Amino acid sequence: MNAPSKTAKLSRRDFLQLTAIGTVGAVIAACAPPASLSGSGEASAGTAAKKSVFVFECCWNAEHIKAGKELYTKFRSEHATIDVIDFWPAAGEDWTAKLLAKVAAGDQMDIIWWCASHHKFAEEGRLVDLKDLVASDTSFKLEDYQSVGVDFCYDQPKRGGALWGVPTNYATVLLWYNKKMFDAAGVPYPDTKWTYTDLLDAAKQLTKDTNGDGKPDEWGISIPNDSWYYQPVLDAFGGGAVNIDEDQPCKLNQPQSVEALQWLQDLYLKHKVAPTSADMAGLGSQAMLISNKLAMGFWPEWAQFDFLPAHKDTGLEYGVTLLPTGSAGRVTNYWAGITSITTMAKNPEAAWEVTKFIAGDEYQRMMTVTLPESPAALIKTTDFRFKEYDKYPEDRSALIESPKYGRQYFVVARYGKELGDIVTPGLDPVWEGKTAPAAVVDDICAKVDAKAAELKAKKGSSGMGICRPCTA
Amino acid sequence: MSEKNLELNLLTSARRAPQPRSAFLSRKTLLEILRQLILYIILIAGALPFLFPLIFMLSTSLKSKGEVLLVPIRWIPSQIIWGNYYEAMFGYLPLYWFMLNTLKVVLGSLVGDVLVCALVGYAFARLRAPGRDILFIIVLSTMMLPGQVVLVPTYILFRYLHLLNSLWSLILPNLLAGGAFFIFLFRQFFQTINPELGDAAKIDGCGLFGVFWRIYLPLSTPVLATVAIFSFFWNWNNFLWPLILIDAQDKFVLAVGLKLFQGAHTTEFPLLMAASVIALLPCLLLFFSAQKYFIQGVVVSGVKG
Amino acid sequence: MNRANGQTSLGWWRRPASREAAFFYLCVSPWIVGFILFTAGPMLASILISLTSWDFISSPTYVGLSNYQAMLNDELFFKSLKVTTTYTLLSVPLGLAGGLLIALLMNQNLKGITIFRTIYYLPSVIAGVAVALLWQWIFNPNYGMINGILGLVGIDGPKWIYTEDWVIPAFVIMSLWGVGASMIIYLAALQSVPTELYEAAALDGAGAARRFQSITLPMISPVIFFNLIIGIINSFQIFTSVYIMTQGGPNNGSLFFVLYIYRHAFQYFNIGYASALAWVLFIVIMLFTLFIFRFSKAWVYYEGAAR
Repeated sequence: MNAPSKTAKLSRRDFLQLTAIGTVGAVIAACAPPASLSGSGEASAGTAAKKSVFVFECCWNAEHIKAGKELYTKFRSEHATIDVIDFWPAAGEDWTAKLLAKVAAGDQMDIIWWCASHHKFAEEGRLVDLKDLVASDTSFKLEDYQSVGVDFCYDQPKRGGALWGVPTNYATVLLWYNKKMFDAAGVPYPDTKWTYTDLLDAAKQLTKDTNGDGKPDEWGISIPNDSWYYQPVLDAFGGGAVNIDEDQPCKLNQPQSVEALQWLQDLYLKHKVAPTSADMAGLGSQAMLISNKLAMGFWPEWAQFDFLPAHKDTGLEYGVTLLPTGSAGRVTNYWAGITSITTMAKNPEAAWEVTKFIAGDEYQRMMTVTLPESPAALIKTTDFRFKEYDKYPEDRSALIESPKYGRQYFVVARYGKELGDIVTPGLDPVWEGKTAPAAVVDDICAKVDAKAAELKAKKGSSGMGICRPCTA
Repeated sequence: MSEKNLELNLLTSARRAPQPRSAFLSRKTLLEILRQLILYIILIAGALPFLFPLIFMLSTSLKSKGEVLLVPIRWIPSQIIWGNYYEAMFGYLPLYWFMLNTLKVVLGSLVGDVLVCALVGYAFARLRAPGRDILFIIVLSTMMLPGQVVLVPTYILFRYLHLLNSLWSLILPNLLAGGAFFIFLFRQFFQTINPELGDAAKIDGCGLFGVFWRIYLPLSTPVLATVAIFSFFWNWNNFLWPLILIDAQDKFVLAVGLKLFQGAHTTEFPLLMAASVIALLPCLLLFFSAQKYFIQGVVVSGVKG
Repeated sequence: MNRANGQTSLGWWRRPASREAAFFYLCVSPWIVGFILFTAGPMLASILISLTSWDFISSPTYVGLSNYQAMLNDELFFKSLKVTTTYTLLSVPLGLAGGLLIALLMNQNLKGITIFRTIYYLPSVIAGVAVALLWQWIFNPNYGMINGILGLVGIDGPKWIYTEDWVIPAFVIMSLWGVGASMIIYLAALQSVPTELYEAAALDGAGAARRFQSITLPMISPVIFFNLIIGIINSFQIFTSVYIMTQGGPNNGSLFFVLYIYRHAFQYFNIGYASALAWVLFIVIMLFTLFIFRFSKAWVYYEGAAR
C-alpha cells in the first residue's frame, strides 16, 4: 500500500479543487441576468390587470429576432393593457418539437406564427376561426394581402370553411441568372417572355467544357431535385404533382406530368446541361452560380440572401426574372407562412391585436429588410426586401410579380409531408438516371393515392411542412 | 531483431522504464531516431484530415458573407474580417452571457459526472449485492431509448417538478448520476484494478468507502480526466435538452444560441463559424491541460508474492 | 476475504456481505433517485404512448398493440432497420479497431504528442452543422477531397452520399473520423496497465506482438468491451448528421431508424407509432447488448474475475 500514495495525494487535491469549482459554479448560477434579456420568453410575467398574450414565433434568423424584439418593445409601450410575450425558439427542425412539448403540457399558447403547416392544429380544433374577427374589424382587410396567401388560410379550396390565420410571409420560385456567363456566351438575358423551350436552348449554349475533359465545367441550368422546384415545371406543362383536394390526388402519372419529368431528366441525361446533385459542390447549386459555374437556376426569394453579399464581396453580377411559361402558362410554387390564434388563448381580442401587429405594415416592412422570407402584405415599395443601400439587381419587378402566378406547394398542404415522403424517394432513381419517369410514376401514384385515402379516412393531417430541403 | 525492437517500442515505449544502456547505445539511439521519424511521418499524415474541420471553420469565420459559398473553397479569404468575431459575440445576441450560463451547467454537471458516477461505477464494479446485475442492465438501458420519444414526457415531468426555465434542470440530473455512459466507463475501469489491493486495504483498517476513496480513485487518474473531458464537452455542446427545457433567453445556453445563426432557409456562416470557434476554445484548452493526467502513473498490479 | 468468520455469530446487518450490500445500495442511491425522478417516468410514459394513437394535440386513444402490428406491413420500417443494422455492423468493428490503433500511436513517448492527441480528438468535439457541411464538401464527387485522392491513384470515385449504393459506406467513413472519443478511452486504459507486467514479460523474453496479445489486450479488454457496447448503442441511434446531410435519401437509402422515428413523431404527428418504433429499437439494442454480455466472459478479462 505504498506505491499509489503519490498519485493519491495529487488526485484528492484535484477533487477538492473540482468540488470548489462546482461550488463556485453553483454560486454563479445564482447571479442575476443582464437586463436586456429579461422580459421576453418568460411566462407569467404579466400583472393581473394586463392581458397576457404568448406568441410562438417562427424564427428566421438572428437579424430578424433582433429587429422583431425591438418592434415588440415598441408594441408594449403603445399597448398598456396587453402584455405580449414574444418567444423565439431555435429555428429549423426542432421548432415543431418545442411547439408540441408546450402544447402537450398545456402551456400558455395564444398565437402561433407557423414555420410549418397549421393543418393538424386546425383539424384538431385548436385554432380560432378568424372570419368574424376580420369581418368586424374595419382596420383590417384581407385584400391587402397576396390572394394566394389568403387562399392558403382558408380551410377549404375556393375560400370555403374557416379562416385559420392571416398571411404573414411567403416564398415562391424564381429564375435567377449569372449575367457574366450570359455575356460571355453572347446569349440575351432571360425575360418574362421566355418559354421552357427558350430556357433549354439558352442552357445548351451556356453549357461548356472549358478544360476539355469531356465533362461540362460550366452548366446552363439547375432545377434542384426537390419537389419545391419541380412542381412548378409539372404545373406549367399542364400536369401536376399532388392535389389533395381531388379524389385521386396523385397527378404524376398524367401524360403532361410524365412529359415534364422526362423534360427534367433530359436536362441531365440527354442534353447534359444541368448538374446532378452529385455534380454540384456540396454547398448547393447557389454556390455554383456564385462561383460562375452555373448560368441559371430555380430558387426562392431568399436566394437574394446569398447572392447579394456575393455581389458586394466577389463582384457577382446576377439578375432575376419570372419562371418561363409552359403549355399551361406560367406557374410558380407558393409557400405561405400564416399567423393563427389558438383556442387556448384566454384573451382572443388582445391576441387579435397582436396578430394584426405581426401582419401589419410596420412589422411587414421590417421583414422586407431582415427576413429571407418575404412579407405577405402587398407592400408596393421599390425597396422591396432590400435595404436602402442594397438596391440590386436593378430590375426587381419579378419579386413583386411572382406571387401572382403562385400555386400552393403540395408538401405544405394537408397530408403533404407524408405524401411528399413517398414522392421524393420515388423519383430519386429518375434523377440518378437509373430509370425513366414513365416507369416509376404509376407505382408512386398507387402509393400516394393509397396513403392519401388512408389519411383522409382518419384525422391524418401531417404537421411538418417546413420547407427544409429548399436550402439546397 | 531490429524490426522486432521497433515493433515492441511502438506498443510499449511510453511506459518503458529507463534502462541502463550498454555497448549497443549508439545503435539503439539510431533505431530510436528512426522509430521517431517514422512515427512522426505517420502522425503528421494522419493529422491532416483530422485538422480539416478546424481549418474550414477558421477560414469561414474570417470570410465575408459573399465569399463563403465560392467553389472551389478559397481557404485564405481575399479579405480577412476579424469583425465577424465581435459581431458573433455581441452583435445580435449576447452570446457571452449564454457562455456564462453554459459554464454554470458544465461545472455543476462535472461534479456529478466525475464524483457521483465514479462512486456508482465503483459499486457496480466491486461491491456484491443482490440485484446488482439487473440494476446495471437498467443503467445501460437508459441509453438505449431514442431521446425523441421521451422529449415531450420529460418536458411535462419537469414542468411538474417546477424545474423548467432553470439551469438546475440541466444540472440536477447529472448530479444524480444521470450519465449512464460514465457509470459504465468507471465500472469497466475499476474492474481492471486488482481487487486484492482493496482487500489488503481493508485488512489495514480501511472502511468500505475508504477503499474507493483511497485506492480506486487515486489509481484512476487517466479515466477521471477522460470523464472530466467528456462531461465538459457534452454539457458544453448539449443542445436538445436546453432547447426543450428552457424558454427564457436569459437562461439560454451556448448551443441554443449558436442555432439562432441558422435560419430556416439561410445560415450566417461566417458568424456561426466565428461563434463556433470561440465555443471550441475552452474545450481545446481543457483537453490540452487535462493531458498531464494522461501520463503513466506509478501503477502497481497488486500485492506481489 | 474472510467471509467465513462472522457469518454464524453476527446478526445479518453486521455480516460483511450484508454490510457490503447495504453500502452498494448507498453508493448507487444517487442514481436510483435520479432514475426514479427524471428517467423512469418518461420511459414508462413512452411505453404507454406506444399503445395509443396520439398526435400530442388531442387526447390519446388506446389502441393496444396495433402500432406494433402495423410495423409488420410497413416496408419503410424494415428498410430502416436494415439500413441501420448494416451501418452498425460496418462502423462498430472499424471504429473499434481504428480507435485502438490510433490510441496505440498516441501512447508513444514523443515530443509534441499532446498536440497530436488534440488534433486527432478535434473532430469529435466539433459538432453539428460545421461538420455536416464539411462532409458534404468532402464527399462531393467532383470537387471533394476523397475522390480527389482516389483520382490521384487513378480510381474514379463513387458518388458517395448522392447515390443509394454508396450512402451507407459514406456514413461509415464519416463515423471513423469521430474515432477520437474512443481513442481517449483506450488511451486512458493503456495507461492503466501496470508497468511491471510489461517488465516481467520483457524479462521472460516475450516479443512485442506477444506482449500486446497476452498483456495489453487482456488488460484493456474491459474497455474494448465498453467501446463495443457504446458503439452499438450510438450507431443504432445515428441521427443528426443524417438529418442535416441526406434526410434519408437518396431513395430512402439512408433512412436510419431514428430518422424514421423522428419523421413519425414530429413530422407526421404519430407519436404513438414513433414510440412503438423506439421501443422496438430499444429491444434490438438490448438484445445485442445482452448477447455481447453473455459471451463477454470468453474474452473480457476482469481482475479478480470472481467479482
